[in-house]
Amino acid sequence: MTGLVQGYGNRQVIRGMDLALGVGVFGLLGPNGAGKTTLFRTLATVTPPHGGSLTICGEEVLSEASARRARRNIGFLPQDFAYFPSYSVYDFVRYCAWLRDVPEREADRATRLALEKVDLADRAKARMKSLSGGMVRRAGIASAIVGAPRLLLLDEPTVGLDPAQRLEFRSLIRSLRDVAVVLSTHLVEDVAALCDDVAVLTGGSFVFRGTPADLAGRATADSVGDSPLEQGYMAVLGQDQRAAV
Amino acid sequence: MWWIYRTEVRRSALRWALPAFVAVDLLVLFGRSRHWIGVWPEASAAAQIPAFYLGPALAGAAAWSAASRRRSGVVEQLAAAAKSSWRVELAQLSATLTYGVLAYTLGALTAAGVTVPEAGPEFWWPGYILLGLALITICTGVGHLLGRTTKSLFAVPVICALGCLVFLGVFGFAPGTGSSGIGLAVLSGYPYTTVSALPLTARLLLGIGLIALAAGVGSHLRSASGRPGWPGLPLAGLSGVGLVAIAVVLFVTAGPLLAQREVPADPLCTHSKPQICVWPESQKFVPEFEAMSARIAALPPGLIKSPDVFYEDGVRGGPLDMGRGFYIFEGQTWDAATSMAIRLNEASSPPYCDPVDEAANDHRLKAQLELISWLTVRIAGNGQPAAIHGGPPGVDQKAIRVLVTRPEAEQVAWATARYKVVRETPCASE
Repeated sequence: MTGLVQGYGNRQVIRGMDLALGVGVFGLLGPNGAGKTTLFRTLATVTPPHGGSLTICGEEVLSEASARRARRNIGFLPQDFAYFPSYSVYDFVRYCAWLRDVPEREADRATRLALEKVDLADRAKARMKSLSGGMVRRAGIASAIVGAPRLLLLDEPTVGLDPAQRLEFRSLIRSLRDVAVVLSTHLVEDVAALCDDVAVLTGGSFVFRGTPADLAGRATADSVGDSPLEQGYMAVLGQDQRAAV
Repeated sequence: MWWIYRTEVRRSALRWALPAFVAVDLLVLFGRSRHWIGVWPEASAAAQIPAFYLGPALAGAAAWSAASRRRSGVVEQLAAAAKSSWRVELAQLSATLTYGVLAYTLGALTAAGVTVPEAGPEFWWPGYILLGLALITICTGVGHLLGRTTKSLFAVPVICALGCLVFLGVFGFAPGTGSSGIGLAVLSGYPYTTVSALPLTARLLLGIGLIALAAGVGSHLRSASGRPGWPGLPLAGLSGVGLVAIAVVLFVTAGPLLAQREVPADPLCTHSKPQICVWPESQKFVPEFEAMSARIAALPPGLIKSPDVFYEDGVRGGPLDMGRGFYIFEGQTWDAATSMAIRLNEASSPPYCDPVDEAANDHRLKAQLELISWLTVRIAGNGQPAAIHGGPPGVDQKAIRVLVTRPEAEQVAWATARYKVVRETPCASE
């Protein structure tokens, strides 16, 4: 995306942002209200931008029709993931495959594969409403990865997962091939473990863009945090706040 | 599309309501009356009547289903769908409609099942069946549209169902069936009337249009946040609006829903004289008319003159006979007997003239009404059915019922005295 402007009414949430994504995991860090979810919704083509351009898989998104074409390549796990309680896990993930226009002949196989990847194959017939919070999150991830999208948008995917499930999630993301993953999280450990590239978003624009190692390198002696990456993240945020003042 | 349709049907909460829908249908079908059994047009109209209740129930169910889907919060995933939003709406809407159509079809099949053994070699009159289907479709479309505007799982569905019921009750029935409504339902299926193709098409098109409209704009109602969408013509919504507009124009211009049928090529007539000729669909009543014909033949020959043939309304064509023929009201031949009694009385009385004064008129009218009542009971061969109340004004029905049990000579004397009154009433022109 180039010069992207996004907001609600007259309020600008994202201001002139440039971002190009390739295969790999792109981590997005930022405090609450920084505009992460707005950015995700824009990348998912849910909301048209107020300005700038958005190109997904080589096609500029300009209309409802081009947005729908782009969505075939996008797997999206929204922050407030919701589901139909009466659906089985299988049916819900298969429904998401249908929503994404995964071809009928491939949809069943893709659904089974997605459930296997999130380790929910044995719960395929269970009702969504009978799942624990962690399982629901995994079903959400399955619904995002079903049909092998080329752009995967995961907004806070590890919320509700226990440590073992988070490890499994990481291994799942690592196993994905030929996909650009955008991962929004509050957990810098996930960024450290998964991301090739990371950005810190605050006030509607990136205040940092680089590798996790670069971010860790921003740490100063007085930075707070339990790990170098956390300290780097806090240092970047602190610099931004000082600059704002 | 087949997978999503099956899944929506399988997972719809309305599957639990299906037994209730079927129960309502069968309750209305058999609880209201059973006279329709054995007469295809009546059976078809009777099978359609449950739609009058199923339609509003479906409107409420569709509103509830649409609201509950919105309430589930799967807004983001749906907004990010590659699938056209109208397809997503249509999938859910078709599941709701399926349960209504299923209940309605089961009821209609049941009506056919109990009619086959008694009726002729016909089947449903599709016009009536399709009319009920159109009503169900219209109500479902309206319910879905209203349900999409709300998250209310109680108030809006209830208001929607009751609103549809009241609207249909006041405006729904076809003119000529006891109502001056717009003709979304009929109460009876007399053999001499049929559902006209064009008005029926308008109603079906209205149903399809409302479904298209609900599918086309439902997703826009779903995202109530007022977010602007991507540029592009909302083709599905516009198609729905267009279809509804065409349907409304057709509805208004297509004319009345019910039309008189062509004269039957082979009416069924009694073997006995005088002949009583009915529509082939009324064959179930022929044995009863044979008996009535024999009773007419047995009336005092010198006193009572009879036409050679009595016709059920419409059998001779032309405008409906307005008292010259007879019709079978809700399976009762009592009204047919009354119509025949009027014809016999006309044939047996001197030509009409204006009496000389009001008192003479009242006196003659009372005599004629008593004769008609007596003839009716004689022709019908039994008492007035419990379902039919009242009778000609000023006639002591109890006395008539006693009279027909008296010896023939006594009845002849009574009738002769009445005809004397009729004959001897002075005319104004004399």
